[in-house]
Amino acid sequence: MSLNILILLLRMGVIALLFLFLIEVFLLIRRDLRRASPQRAERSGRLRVVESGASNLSKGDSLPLLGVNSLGRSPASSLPVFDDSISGEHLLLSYDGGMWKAEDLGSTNGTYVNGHKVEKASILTYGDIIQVGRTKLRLERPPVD
Amino acid sequence: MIKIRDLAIAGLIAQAGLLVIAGLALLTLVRDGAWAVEPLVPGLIFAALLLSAQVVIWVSGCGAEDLLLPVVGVLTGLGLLIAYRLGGQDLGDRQLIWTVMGIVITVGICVFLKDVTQLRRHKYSWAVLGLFLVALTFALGRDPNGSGARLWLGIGPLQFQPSEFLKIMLVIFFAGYLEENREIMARGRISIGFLKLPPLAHVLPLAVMWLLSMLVLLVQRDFGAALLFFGVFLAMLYVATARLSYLLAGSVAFLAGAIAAYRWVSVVQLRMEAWLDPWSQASGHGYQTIQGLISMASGGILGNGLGMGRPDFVPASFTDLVLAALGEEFGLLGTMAVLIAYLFLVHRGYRIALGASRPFDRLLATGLTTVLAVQSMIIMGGTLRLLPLTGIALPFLTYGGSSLVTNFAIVGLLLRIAARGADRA
Repeated sequence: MSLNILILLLRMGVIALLFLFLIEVFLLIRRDLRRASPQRAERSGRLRVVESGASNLSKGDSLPLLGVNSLGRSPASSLPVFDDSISGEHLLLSYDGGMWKAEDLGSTNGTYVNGHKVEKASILTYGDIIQVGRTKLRLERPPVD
Repeated sequence: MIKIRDLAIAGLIAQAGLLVIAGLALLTLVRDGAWAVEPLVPGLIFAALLLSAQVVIWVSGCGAEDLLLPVVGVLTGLGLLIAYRLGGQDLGDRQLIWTVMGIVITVGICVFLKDVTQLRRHKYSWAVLGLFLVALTFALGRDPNGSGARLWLGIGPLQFQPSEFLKIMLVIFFAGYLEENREIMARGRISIGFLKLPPLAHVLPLAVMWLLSMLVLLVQRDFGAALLFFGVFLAMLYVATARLSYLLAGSVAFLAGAIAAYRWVSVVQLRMEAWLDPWSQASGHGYQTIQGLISMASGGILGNGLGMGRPDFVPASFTDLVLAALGEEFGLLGTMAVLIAYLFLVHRGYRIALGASRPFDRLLATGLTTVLAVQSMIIMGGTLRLLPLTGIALPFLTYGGSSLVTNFAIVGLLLRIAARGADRA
């Protein structure tokens, strides 16, 4: 085999190897992103009703969570809670990058996490008590399956 | 138990090693016209080292993030190839030694630093140490390669560039400081009419950083360093406070400062003109930029092939303009590959920041990743004439010990933070 052909093959080989590498990394990154996608949030937490001020919740209820959850009096909410002390669109709970966040949507009576008023989006840890209106909810780790 | 994922990672690292070995073989064939085994040895050392580093990282419980090292490995491998190509055996061997040291530092941070939050306790010491080292270069600095800037410090035969280490030290300081003060910085505000401004005292850090970066721009005439430090600070400030107003105010202030400097400082003006129209001074200030562009253009899509271009026409081709050398010999494809690799690197870095459980960790990961991101953007933009060209290292690719060691230390810290985040989940 002549030298020139060998050099040409090596040249193409180096570029091919480089892109093969990048494609493999891309596939692994895509897998990681899929694994962390919002659907998996279902298995990342739930809310336990600690104190119920509302007619449609009772103490001890467990509410399943999605990746993004809206809580409010509006029936369009993913977690509707029918209580006068809760605004129509009260609170947004989202699971992102491996953590839960609570964001008050400008509610009349505000949202409190462990007694502190939520001003901006704030990060939650398991066991936090979220108070909306007269209702108190605890963020819980999902059951191990 | 060995998982499929771990095998895939080991495969990736083997490919990075193979890339270097194939590149060295190509270099030898082009140069000598014959096979030889000896020139391939550095590639073998590199591959073996990278693989054993990943194994130690797994064993030390630092392996939660496993794509960072392979991607860094490919970039470092390409840098190694370019050092052997442009600087010959001697320079290549030295770059190999720096790479070994860098990888050892990454592994060392993983094994010995159990918790990055320890760094927070001495945040002022880190900042002072960093600034002291840089100040020392003003007095005792050396200029080994005759670039006119005395940025190096020497201890015996060893020389290093403190401004590289300063990056990490400042990021540690910012992370500690912002973590302490983020609540008040995010919340306090005074109202002037409809405008809601944070109280003056809370804007002070921003103002101080702005002044410092302007000082770097005017005294050091280093647009790249000014942009880097200020950009990193702004990114961390935004992550700490989630307030867009800081980001906007900071960007506007920086832009205004840069424009003012352009209007009234002749050196800055010269630099800007060499950027906007390098062709009018092709043998003067625009020379480097133009040689870089010609070099890349001559590479075309597939490149001339390693060892077959003439990147030696480009001044500083294995340091500042390494992307041009890469473009000439690996072509557009090679340049794109490097860009994609940086994209992956930065993506993983910010992902680690998102997954970090504690504010200090998150700020630290954000800052460290932004250092890599902004730095690559500044020098690649400069080479491609999208930004004014300033001498700054392209992470992992540029020849140079301090920069390589610093960047590997960043990788080590990121791996540690990722491991901590994974513990919690």
